[in-house]
Amino acid sequence: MSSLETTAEIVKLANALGVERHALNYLSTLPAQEIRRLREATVAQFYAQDRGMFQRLAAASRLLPNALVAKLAEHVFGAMLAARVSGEMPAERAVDIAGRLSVSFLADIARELDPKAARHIIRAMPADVVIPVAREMLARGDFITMGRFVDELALRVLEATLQALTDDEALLHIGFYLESKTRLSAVVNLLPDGRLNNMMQAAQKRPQELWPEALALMAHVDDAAKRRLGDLAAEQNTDVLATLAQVAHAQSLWSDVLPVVARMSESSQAKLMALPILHDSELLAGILHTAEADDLWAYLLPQLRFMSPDQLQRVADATAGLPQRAQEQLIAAARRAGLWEPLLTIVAEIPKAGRKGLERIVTQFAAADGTLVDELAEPAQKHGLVDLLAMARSAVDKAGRQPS
Amino acid sequence: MTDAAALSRLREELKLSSEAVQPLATLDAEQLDALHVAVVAARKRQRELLETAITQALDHLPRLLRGPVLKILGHRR
Repeated sequence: MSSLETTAEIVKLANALGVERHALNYLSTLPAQEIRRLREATVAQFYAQDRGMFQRLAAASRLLPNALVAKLAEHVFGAMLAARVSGEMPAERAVDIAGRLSVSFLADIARELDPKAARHIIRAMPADVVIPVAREMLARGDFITMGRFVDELALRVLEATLQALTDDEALLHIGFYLESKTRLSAVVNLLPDGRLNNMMQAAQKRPQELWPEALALMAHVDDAAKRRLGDLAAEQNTDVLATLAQVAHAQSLWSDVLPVVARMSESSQAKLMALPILHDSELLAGILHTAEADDLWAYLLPQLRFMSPDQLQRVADATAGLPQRAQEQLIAAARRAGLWEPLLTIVAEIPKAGRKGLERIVTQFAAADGTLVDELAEPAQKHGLVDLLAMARSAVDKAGRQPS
Repeated sequence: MTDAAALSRLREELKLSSEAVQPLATLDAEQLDALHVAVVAARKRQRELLETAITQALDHLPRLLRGPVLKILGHRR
């Protein structure tokens, strides 16, 4: 579960309910999608009120020329009513009227729009209307509304808007509130490396506040964008990477970071693992705890290739002390992902007496599926774990002799 | 109020199915009650803002137009 996604959803729900985000801290144990469902149901209730009335107003406004409707909207009806009525209009007419309204009033309307009812209008908005309104919303710090717009804008309009908005720190804020992961990847694809680097440099200036947003961006994009962002992060100087690791540790964000690290190029992964901070016992324990709690072993195991003997020993010690359930998950993950080699690297570091639990689980798995022995053979011999291999073979033989 | 009763009240307020609110069952009655209060208050605030906006809009309209607009609004005032 991504804790950053949950945080973003709590902020959005607090915004919808008009309460401080801290007032909803008790929701932080819920999955992000559940908080999102709550918000969508709440907002749907708001907009369901009087919908018929707004449909009648939208229909009646057809009798008036668009220029007069625009004047009435801005000078008589105000942003809230205008937003509700425009959501009931055909996109073409709403876009024409929008072109006649002041930028400030459009930014007011944008905040009040029913995200579902207005989807067709946002998709039809041209860049020459969107860009000045985006600048106004940026000046107001209305990043949640901007995130909602980025979700829906036509891609060419989004591209033009991204080029026009030069505040790279703001992009971190907007990205944090985007709903669509697909759209977030599209945004990253539209940005050149220089701007993505600027975003990381901006995060470095206020790390506790902005690195979580940068990490959210990395964590929620598709695999190709994860790799690009992860490699760009690895190209930053080691201070930047160390800060990233510190923030991830201090704010328990390893569940967001590990999948990104796993997509990085091998040289980037090696650079990250070589950081002095990643030799810290407490930090390594935090990573292992996350892998255990969220079953992220498949992301962590490949990193073992880049760890020093000292790091491997610490991981091995922690692995020996894992509860049985976590050890089962670790072995199952190694099996699923074909990661016996890194797993056995750490098993070999564990003193014989400390391996008994892991050996028992491997033999149980082998008894259930004899093909495990073939997978295990080469890495077990390489790491001198011939006893483990013999136990697995014996378990397979024993299982084969038992009547089915 | 029990946890189940608090969950049921929130479900009714949000017009969600029992399955849809099931993940919220991990919250206790006090938390569910706080959430219910926040949702009801936000809905009330929305309603008041809307009423104020309509009143202000009508006040700006020439008297001759108020009748037709009221008719469109469904004679709500």
